[in-house]
Amino acid sequence: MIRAALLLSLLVAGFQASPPAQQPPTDNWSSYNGDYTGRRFSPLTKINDRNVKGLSLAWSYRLSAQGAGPIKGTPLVVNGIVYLTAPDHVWALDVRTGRELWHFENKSTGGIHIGNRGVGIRGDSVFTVTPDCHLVSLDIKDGKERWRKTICDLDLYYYASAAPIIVGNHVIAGVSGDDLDVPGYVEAHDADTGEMQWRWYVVPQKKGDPGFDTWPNEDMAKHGGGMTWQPPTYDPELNLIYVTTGNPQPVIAFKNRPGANLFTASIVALNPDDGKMKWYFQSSPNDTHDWDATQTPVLFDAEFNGQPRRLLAQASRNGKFFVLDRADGKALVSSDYVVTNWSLGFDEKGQPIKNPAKNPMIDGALATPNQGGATNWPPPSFSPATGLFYVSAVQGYSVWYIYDPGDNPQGWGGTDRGGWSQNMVQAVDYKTGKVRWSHKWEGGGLSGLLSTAGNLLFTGDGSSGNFVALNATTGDPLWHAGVRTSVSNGPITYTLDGLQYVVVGAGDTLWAFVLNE
Amino acid sequence: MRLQFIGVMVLALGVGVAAQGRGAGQGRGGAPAGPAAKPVDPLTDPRAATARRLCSNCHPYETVVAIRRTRSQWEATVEAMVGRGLRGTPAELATVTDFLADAYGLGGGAPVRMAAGPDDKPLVDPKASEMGKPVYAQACLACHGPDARGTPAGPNLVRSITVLHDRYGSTLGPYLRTSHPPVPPAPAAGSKKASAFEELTNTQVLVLAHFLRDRINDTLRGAPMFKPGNVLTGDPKAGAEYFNGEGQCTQCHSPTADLAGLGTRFDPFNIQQRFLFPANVVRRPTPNARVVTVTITTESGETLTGPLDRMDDFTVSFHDGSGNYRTVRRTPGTRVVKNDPFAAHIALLSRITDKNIHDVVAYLETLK
Repeated sequence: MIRAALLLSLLVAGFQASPPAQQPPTDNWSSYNGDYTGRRFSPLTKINDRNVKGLSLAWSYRLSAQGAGPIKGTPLVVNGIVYLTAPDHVWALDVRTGRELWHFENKSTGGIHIGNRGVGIRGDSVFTVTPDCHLVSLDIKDGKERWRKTICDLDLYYYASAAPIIVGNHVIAGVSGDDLDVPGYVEAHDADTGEMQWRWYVVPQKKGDPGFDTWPNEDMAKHGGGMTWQPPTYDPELNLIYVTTGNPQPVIAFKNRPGANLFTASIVALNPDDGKMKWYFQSSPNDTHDWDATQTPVLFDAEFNGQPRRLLAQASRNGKFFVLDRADGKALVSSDYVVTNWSLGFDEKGQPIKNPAKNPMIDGALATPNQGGATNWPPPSFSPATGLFYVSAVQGYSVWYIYDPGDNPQGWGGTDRGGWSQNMVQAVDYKTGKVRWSHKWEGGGLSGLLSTAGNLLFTGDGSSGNFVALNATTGDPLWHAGVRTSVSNGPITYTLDGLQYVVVGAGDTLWAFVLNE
Repeated sequence: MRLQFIGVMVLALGVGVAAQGRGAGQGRGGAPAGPAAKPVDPLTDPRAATARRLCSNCHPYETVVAIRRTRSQWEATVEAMVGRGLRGTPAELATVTDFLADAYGLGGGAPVRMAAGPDDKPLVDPKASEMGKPVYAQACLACHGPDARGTPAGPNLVRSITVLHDRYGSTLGPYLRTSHPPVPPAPAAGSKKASAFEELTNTQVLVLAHFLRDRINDTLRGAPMFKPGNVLTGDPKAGAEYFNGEGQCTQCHSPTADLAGLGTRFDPFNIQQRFLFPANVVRRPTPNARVVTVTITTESGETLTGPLDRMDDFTVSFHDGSGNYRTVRRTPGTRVVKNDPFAAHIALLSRITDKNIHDVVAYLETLK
């Protein structure tokens, strides 16, 4: 144990030579990922691998709107108040007691109510999106609505779920919805007035637009999907936001969209001031399995091949792990973090080369991952203390079928069926892309992750219904608490009155744990 | 005047659609109405809590039950979810499947809120859609194609903003009468109208709107028209060889014993799914059902064994030889071995090829 602690402190000391882009605050959790980097790493050490067994319940809060959960969003903590969401709802809670202070409810006109990832906060404004396609600004004091803007067309089966990210006076909002063949985009709104500042389309809207040559024609390109349903990360020094994009449309039946289908299933770097693209990296060229690449693009500064580098890492839904130089998007590492059977290696850009035999087929093709993916939206974590990238992962097999064998399929002309899956946490060495340790769960379902300088990794064990602390270096379970159902969001941590808290959502309840020493 | 007329028609059809919608979910034709469902209250039914508990591990429960499904669709859904990580005892899975089919089946049960799109999205009256077919064939098909997905002569209507914004003819009618390019067919001889579209009656516009909405719904996930195609593409001889050789299937199975007549009991699609993912099949619990068991060796050396109920890193729960429920804490000295009767099938997934799969299905299908 002492040796492990010593090793850890050496690791921390070693990495201090190369400080992260931003030092996250320790008494707040001020944006979806806690800071702009997406690392979900806390430097707090009050709770650590030696004393985590003493973690106990401080309070719990059950959503006051029945049926509004599960809590999939990450709560924000700013100046002693927790801001929590569910589709159509925002709550403000006292961070010391869990007492509800105000509650905003959107009178819905529709849209898929599958999840809401959280709010964005700037000054005295709280920003949220609603399933019926609105970006709404609330007064932070009482939750009263200030303005609302329509960001998508409900009649086209779009909906909104992503947490707005605030960069300067830009409120950056993405869109969701892959039922009909419609284009994805991300847009920025003025934080004070709500006026739209720019919109960037994921897929070419006319002949000659960037990426147009990766589509067979204009009609397919402009309806090509690529939803932006997860919050971007941001590097203030490079002044780039990293937007991740969803699967192309039509989703499974792929016959009428040969080509890479840019910029779907990609990581793109945009200038937050004008929405202009600087570079892209496509995690899943010509995706045919609903494997969007919307997973968090995690930013960290670290040594690579003896050089300090500005890195971006993504564990993508297709089972591939990528480390890029975030200034230019060039791949440094491309690997598999679970077993995959759909690719024939990587091309010169580090992007996967598809095995066409594993495309969905009329008589079925057995592929891994399954449609849920090797991971999905639950946030990953990177710890500079261990140098490990942690991802909530699934080894899943299913059979992929084409249901619409015609030459011009639309929407959902196929799907996967059946399957077997094993859930786990994978700890990936960012320098090699290899899995350092793997901890399997009996339960199914994915939970978000939080790593801390206390050599801890917090997450859930899926449907077994425990909130769990693992040793971040070895993956051994150190502590757990039954929270009735799956941990359904990414845990957060902060200090308050000299105590360190860890807060997590499970189903319709937010649980706050504290170490009282 | 025209608008008023449309309004009356919408109201009249709306009533029909609403009544039909309660019976058939998305308000579409094609799904056979089952026998009159038992009266089930989805809120107070004792099985609802189990369904809510298992489903809401990953989804808001309300989105799970947002779309009605037939019993076989619910069975397929539960099986697919087991494949994606749903964990439950065989009894729980059977209970949930029964409950969902009873309470949220096609052909009866509680009203549901539609999942994607606006709350006021147009519902399709199958009769109206059928009436729209000849109108479409006469006025639209030549340019927009048989499935309304466009041809070089006319755009895709399934993706048309005008059509997607339409409510029972509200945008379609004005567009056809005032904005649609005057293309053939030409107005009837002697007509004073500028184009054939101006001659469409309000009723024709209305049924055309139903027909086009039906074509949009045909592209949605889970649309009734989306069904598995022919999976019987393999070589039965090669399948028999794999079955008897590399696949090691004969270690547990025999074509003349447990698998006798398999080809008469299941269609090829179900044969394929069942042999690859046997654990997902929703089975009614029976005394002889093959279930996952655990063998536990405690720190004191005692050996306990029985059907597994639930396990995590910290405890393991099972039913012992007397049928009593027991939970054992997993201390460092406790050894737990899980015995999965389907382990050989799981091991197959990482090595079987698609050709092997199709060959084995072709072989198993011959077992009549």
